[in-house]
Amino acid sequence: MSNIVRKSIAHNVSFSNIKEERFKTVKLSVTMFVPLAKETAAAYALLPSVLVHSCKKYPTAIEFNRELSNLYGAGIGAYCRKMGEALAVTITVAGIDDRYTMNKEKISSELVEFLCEVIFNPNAENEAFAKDDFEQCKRQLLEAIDGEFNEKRSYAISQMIEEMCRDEKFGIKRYGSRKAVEELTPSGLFRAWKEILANSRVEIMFIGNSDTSSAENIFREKFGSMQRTIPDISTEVSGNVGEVKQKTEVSDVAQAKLVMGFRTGFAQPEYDSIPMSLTTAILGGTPNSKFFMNIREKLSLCYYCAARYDKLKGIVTVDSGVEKENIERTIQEVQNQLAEMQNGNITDFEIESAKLSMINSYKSALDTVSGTESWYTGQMLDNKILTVDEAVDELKKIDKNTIVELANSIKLDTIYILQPKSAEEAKV
Amino acid sequence: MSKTVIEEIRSNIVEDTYFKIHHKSGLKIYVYPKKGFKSTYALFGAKYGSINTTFKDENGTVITVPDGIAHYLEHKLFEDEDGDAFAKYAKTGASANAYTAFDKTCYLFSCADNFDESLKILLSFVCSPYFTEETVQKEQGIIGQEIRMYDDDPNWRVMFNLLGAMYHNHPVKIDIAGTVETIAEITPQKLYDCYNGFYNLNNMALVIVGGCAEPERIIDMADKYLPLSPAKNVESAFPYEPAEIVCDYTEQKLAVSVPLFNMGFKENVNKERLSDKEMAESEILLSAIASGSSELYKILEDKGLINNTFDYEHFEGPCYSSVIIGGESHAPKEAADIIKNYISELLKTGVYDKDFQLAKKAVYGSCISSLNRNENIAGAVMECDFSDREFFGYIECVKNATLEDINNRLHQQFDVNACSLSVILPI
Repeated sequence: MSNIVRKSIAHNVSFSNIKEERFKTVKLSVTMFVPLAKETAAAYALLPSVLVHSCKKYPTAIEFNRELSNLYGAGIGAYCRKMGEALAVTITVAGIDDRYTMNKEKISSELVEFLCEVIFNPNAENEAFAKDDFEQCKRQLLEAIDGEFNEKRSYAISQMIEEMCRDEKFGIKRYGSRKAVEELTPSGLFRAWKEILANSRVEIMFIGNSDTSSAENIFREKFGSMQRTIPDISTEVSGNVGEVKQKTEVSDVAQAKLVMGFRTGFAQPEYDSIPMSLTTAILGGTPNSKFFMNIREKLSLCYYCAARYDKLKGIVTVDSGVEKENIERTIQEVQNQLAEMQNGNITDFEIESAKLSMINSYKSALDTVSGTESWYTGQMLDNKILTVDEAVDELKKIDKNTIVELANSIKLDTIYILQPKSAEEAKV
Repeated sequence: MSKTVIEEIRSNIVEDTYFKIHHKSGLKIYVYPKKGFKSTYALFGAKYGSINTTFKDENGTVITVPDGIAHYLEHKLFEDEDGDAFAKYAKTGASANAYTAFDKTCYLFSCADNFDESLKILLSFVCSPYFTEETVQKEQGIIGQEIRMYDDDPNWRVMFNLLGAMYHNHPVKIDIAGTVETIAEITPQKLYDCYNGFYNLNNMALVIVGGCAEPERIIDMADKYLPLSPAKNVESAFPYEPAEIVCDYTEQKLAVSVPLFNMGFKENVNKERLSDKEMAESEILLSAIASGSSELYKILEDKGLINNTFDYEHFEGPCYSSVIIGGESHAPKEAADIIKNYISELLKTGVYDKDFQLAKKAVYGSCISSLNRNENIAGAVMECDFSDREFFGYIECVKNATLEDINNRLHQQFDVNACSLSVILPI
């Protein structure tokens, strides 16, 4: 079973070694946490893709990718996501364990070196990234932004969040804005690279069965030689709502997408998040939840109606895909089911089944590399990092009174609808 | 009825072992232990999917059933006379689901505790059909919304439009869930016809992967909960499919902001399924042609014609095989022309050895990596059973592939005259 050893290797830089013999791969990930801000988000969104498009040692994309193929199809991951009002910029490398190479070659040390080249020796000159790579990655990021509308479900959720948190940092898109991305330059991005290495909280994680001392030493030396400062990473949490905000967009879609945003005021690191996760699971997180049993199974209004809790911002998002004429009825039914919970109409079966379902996912989390990585990375901004057993114990202790109390903190803030055109509108 | 027989299958390459059990009930059971894993994954599937729309019923009469019925059946099988399977799983904590593919319907769960109880639930509900007018009617709205969701999914649409452009008669071109109109024709009797036709243990497989995957334990459970299935020959008829495509271009306008394309090269197949060797060679060949390490990828990326949604797939199943390449592009036709010309040239020169060596290593690595996840193993083992392939045979074939094999496969698989392009454009 995995066993995490986490230690500080430089100012605000931690290295976690998760010794695992069960996997046939090794994975090294470096996550840099920075505050989410309008001015810097665009650069941090583009940076990871530029870093993994080429590097000094492999200065074209094809050379870079061919080296990865040569390392038995090792995978480089690069992404930037929001965690509360922080951005987590992550670069990873994963490849097969030395035990399984065709000719018993040792590749794990090469994987570590490769990732270090990517992070510390980019394809740059005169304080600017190589123009071709920069333009290529920028075009692709702009297309990804434009392409968000292609995926209606995630687009609708993102639009709801933007509307709901318009006056908060949380309403900033992970890439800032399209315009901010367009305005990026190779030298501006280079400054962002230097900035994030020096002014971020860094979590490095190794999952696998190899000796990590050389990786640890490289990172200790690189980060240790920098003048590092600690950024303020925190998220503003509010449980207050005013009049319900509503936004409707009309489009040529077949199915309406309904997204409802609620505030709870309960979030990490001030509050433990497991009780609210459980409350949300009972509401709409499992096939035995109130939403699934009633809105889908009883009323046949939808195929999915899900509730999700953002533990760092303390908001609950409910989303469903319905016929246009059923939008109002679904909104009403979501509110009815929440009211049921607020009035204490929750059965022992509903509580126990949601607990068992969550215990199952906790206990299964460490059986995959990605699950192991997100179990720990997902808790890096919490008040403490729980083991699976601790999380299970905490969950088991929650009683009905707590659930009802928490349900009463869930207050509707915003309704977003992506609405199909009516028959007449569609003809125009 | 025959006795239960256990075969042990070992791979020295991946250092894993699994057990293939010919259970006396007629079911094939695969047990793949994963030492130290907390969770166990169970997959129970029937070799029956959306393409099995025409078959012989119990009286030997050839019948045709509505499009989307296999998927409808999957939804409805969860309900038994004594309640819903999800409510039963709720007491074990297992995470349960099901899916319908072109050629199979699979029911699954994953659990960290209460494995035996969860397996009992799975075996029992899949073996006890219960369809009434009322329960069948109730599902119309739910599946109707599932279909509408896919109607708005450009990745789904671009693929089915392509299949329609490539296949004249093969039912692979039909949307897995059917349409709102076809599912309206579904009745309890039609569901029973399909169930009785295909849900026979001789036409099914069970795969268990994970910490609780112990052969004796699984056999005990199977002995207790599986009925004996009479050996039965399930016959599905596929209409004649010409080698030629239907048309070389199709487009649809949808509410999208970036256009998408899928291009397909239809292979002329003269047998039901391809072999391990052909599957392995295809994967290496496609990696050499279209992965991020390929010359083609570089050309398309440098010209700004693709982005990181670009992907490729060997699309293979009963009596069909094709290569699908695609992604988002602002100039789909230009991208497709370049791909087609590149393939034409490649057919003359063949794949170069250095490209082959790299692709082989990359595919080998991804085979090894896929063994980390219980669900990957279970899905692949099930696929092997239904296509008469052997799970470890595939990786052996990857390891032993030669440049000559790859170039032979290139000529079998690619015909630039049997190539269609499907495009989704903004409204």
